Amino acid sequence: MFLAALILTLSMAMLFFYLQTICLRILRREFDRDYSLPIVNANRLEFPAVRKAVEEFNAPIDYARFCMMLKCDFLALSYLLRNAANENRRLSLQDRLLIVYFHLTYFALRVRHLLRLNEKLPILRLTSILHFFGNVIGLRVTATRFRDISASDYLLTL
Amino acid sequence: MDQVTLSGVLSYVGIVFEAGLLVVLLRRRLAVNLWEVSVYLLTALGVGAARSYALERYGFASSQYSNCYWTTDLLLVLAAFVLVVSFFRRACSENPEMWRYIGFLLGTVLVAIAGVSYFSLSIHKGGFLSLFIVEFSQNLYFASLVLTTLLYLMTLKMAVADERLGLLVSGLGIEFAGPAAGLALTYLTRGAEVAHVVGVYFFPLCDVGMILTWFYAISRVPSPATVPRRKVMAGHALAEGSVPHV
Repeated sequence: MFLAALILTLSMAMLFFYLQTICLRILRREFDRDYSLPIVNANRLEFPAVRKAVEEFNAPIDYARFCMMLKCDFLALSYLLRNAANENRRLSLQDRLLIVYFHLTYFALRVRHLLRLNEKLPILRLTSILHFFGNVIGLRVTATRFRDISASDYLLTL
Repeated sequence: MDQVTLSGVLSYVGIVFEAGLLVVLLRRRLAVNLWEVSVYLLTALGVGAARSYALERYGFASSQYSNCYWTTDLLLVLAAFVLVVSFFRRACSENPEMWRYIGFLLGTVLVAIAGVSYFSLSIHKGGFLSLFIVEFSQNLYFASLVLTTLLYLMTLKMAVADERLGLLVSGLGIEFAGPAAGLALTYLTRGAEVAHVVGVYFFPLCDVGMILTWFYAISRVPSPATVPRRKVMAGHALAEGSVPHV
């Protein structure tokens, strides 16, 4: 009985560990350049500033403000993931998995805030996810040819 | 949709994904290079076919289907154990001395699990074989889960550059962790309704999760020989640093 309870507990812990590992490995995907920069500038996204503040300046964490900034960036990027240069208007399995991972990490951030634990790690992870989304959108937009057609032509093809 | 139908649908989805992955391996000429994955997928497809046949012929509630399910489950977990062993060998490809030691250790683990399962059930008289199969499967699942975790940690410690191997191992971890938890729950609740529900939904979902991870690893992650020089990290250095290093 004890052994079965131990197996149950450890197995569940390992299941979550592996799911997180898969998400982190997807986030480690390499791009030949930083495609997220034009997306960040065009949409005035704030996650690079959040990361810089946490990572480089070691500033005290303004929890409420950072949460709002990250959440707004997430809403913008998840909209773009679905709609920007995406003919199917559907999220890929990879994007769905990372969206779920974003929500879980955001939940972990709230729990850590309530328990007064270090909030830097989840905040940095959230910025990593947003950076990845930016790169995916940027890559997709770069690969789509808009030059030869006007905006109305493009809309008519949808 | 009732439980039996949903279980069937999930199982068929798993079979379709497995067949699809096998086709991808063949089309990309990776079936020989990743022979262990191909063998496991073929075994899984064979098991799926045997279970479907038993389900059609004898019905979900029959003892024949139950026997077929648990026997093929044993076959599957043994195939997965072979997969873990071959991944260990792949990870130790540059260190044959270590592989000799690990190979001996893995063989000992398999014999020890069979011994422990036999010993823990030796007090039971009736239905010994079926109980032994369930007990052996559970213990082997858990041992494989622990071994997979050790393998994962070993790839981190030895800085194995094969990113694809890392994802394949992670997928295997899901396949082991879910059923190990489900089997332990079945044992703890003595086959209550909750354990039945876990069996219906959880096992096929873990299977699908593993296959999708393998799909990603094989279709999106380049093999170590073709990895280009690193330029920009998608998730910044943080993502790299946040993978647990032990």
